[in-house]
Amino acid sequence: MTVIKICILALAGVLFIVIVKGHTPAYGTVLQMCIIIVVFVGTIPDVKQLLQAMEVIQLTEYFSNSGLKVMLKVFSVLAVGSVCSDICRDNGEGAIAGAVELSAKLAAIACALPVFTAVISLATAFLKG
Amino acid sequence: MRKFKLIFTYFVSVALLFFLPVSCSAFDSNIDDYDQEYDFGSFISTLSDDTLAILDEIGIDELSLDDIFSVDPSKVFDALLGMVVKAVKEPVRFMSVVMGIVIIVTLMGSFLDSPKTLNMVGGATLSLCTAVPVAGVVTSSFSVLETLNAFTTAFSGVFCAVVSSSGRINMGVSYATLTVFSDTLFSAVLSGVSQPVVNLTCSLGFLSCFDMGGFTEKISQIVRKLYVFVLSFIGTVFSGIVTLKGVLSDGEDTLGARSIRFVVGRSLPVVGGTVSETYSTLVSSLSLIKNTVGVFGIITVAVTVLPTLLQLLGWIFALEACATVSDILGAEGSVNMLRVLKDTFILLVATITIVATVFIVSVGVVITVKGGGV
Repeated sequence: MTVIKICILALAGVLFIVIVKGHTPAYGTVLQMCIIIVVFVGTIPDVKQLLQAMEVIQLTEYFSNSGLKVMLKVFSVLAVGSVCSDICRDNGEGAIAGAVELSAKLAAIACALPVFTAVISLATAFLKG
Repeated sequence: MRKFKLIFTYFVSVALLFFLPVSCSAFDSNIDDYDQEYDFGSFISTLSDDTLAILDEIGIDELSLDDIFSVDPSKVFDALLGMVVKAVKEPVRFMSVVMGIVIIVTLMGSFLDSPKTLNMVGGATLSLCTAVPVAGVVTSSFSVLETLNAFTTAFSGVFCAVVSSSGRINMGVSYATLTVFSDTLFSAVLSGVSQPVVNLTCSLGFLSCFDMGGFTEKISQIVRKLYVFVLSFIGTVFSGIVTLKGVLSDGEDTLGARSIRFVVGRSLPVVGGTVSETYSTLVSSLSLIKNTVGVFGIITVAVTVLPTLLQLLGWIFALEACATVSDILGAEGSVNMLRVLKDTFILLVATITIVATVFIVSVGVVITVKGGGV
């Protein structure tokens, strides 16, 4: 049901933005951002449910849910960056969109840095025998 | 399709082993007198705890004729079944974990325009998950190689005892000496070289989760090719030595033997040609081994090698299955890592097979010296 609510909200928002943009384009962008935030807030219960399910997942001794948490963090950072860069691109700001994407990727790599460091130390340990 | 054919051929070859003709010979009790010159019991000290546990399970506690001939077939069957279950259990669990991670990464990636970064993180997470079981398999393979190497070296001592007891001092420069000592040298070289190569390819495999334009895969391919060259060279020299004079084989080449040679040549990775070439020598060696030390040696080799070979085969299958699923789902970082690790395990299978073959031929040569076959 949440999806239907979000879809109705999004469609109504788009219609409203089209009308507003005809008169004052600046307000159109503000409205667009507001609707995106509302849509994200609407998905919070589902995300919470997903996270709770992942807490339960303890696949084996090889893989703890900390790995899943890192992947979720990276995914969240990349998703937020992607949405933000799309907004920038819609408003004709390609350069800002590119910068946002780049910073999102850097932030994602920073989130995954403990995993990367662990892989490098693992490879070094194997090399040392 | 080719891989399925290979797997099918491998299983057919295993099935064919049950139809092999079995040579029966009278027990040569004289050879056991050599334990007065050489302490055969010292072999047992070269064995690993796992091997001793399996020997104990099938009812062989010590190097004695009574123990070897009173082995209960049901115990052997139970031990074999246990080995297979143990070998399959862990790879299957690993497969479920890997497929779970790959599916999660693919699902998350489908929400993004460019899932490259997420794939890299997924690949790195997968590397960390794979490290623990892979390290276990590699360690057990090295321990098998070390045991076989120690055992082959110990057999050189037996050879010296046999030669001195037989009163043929001129044997010291003969063909059999060359064979036994080249076998010892080959297993020592293989045990020594395989460890750094396998460690290097494994670490390159783990690093291949990072998208480096195929750099790590290319380096690991070069290392693998060099190792395969060394393995093939040793295999060629080894098969050259054992077929030089056909010291053990009588040159018989029946249809059955030809089919088995063909199947072995086609199915065994890297060393298939060598094992196929030395097949008749191998069979002759097995038919000649009719004393306590020989039988104990072969049982020990089987008990030492079989669990690890089964484990490696299980892992090769699991890694290939995971790589195929990852390939279908588009998780590139994981595919490279899984394939590099699979190729490393194939190298380990090849190395263990050739070292075991070398050992069996060594035992055969030791027995032939007494039998006057040289």
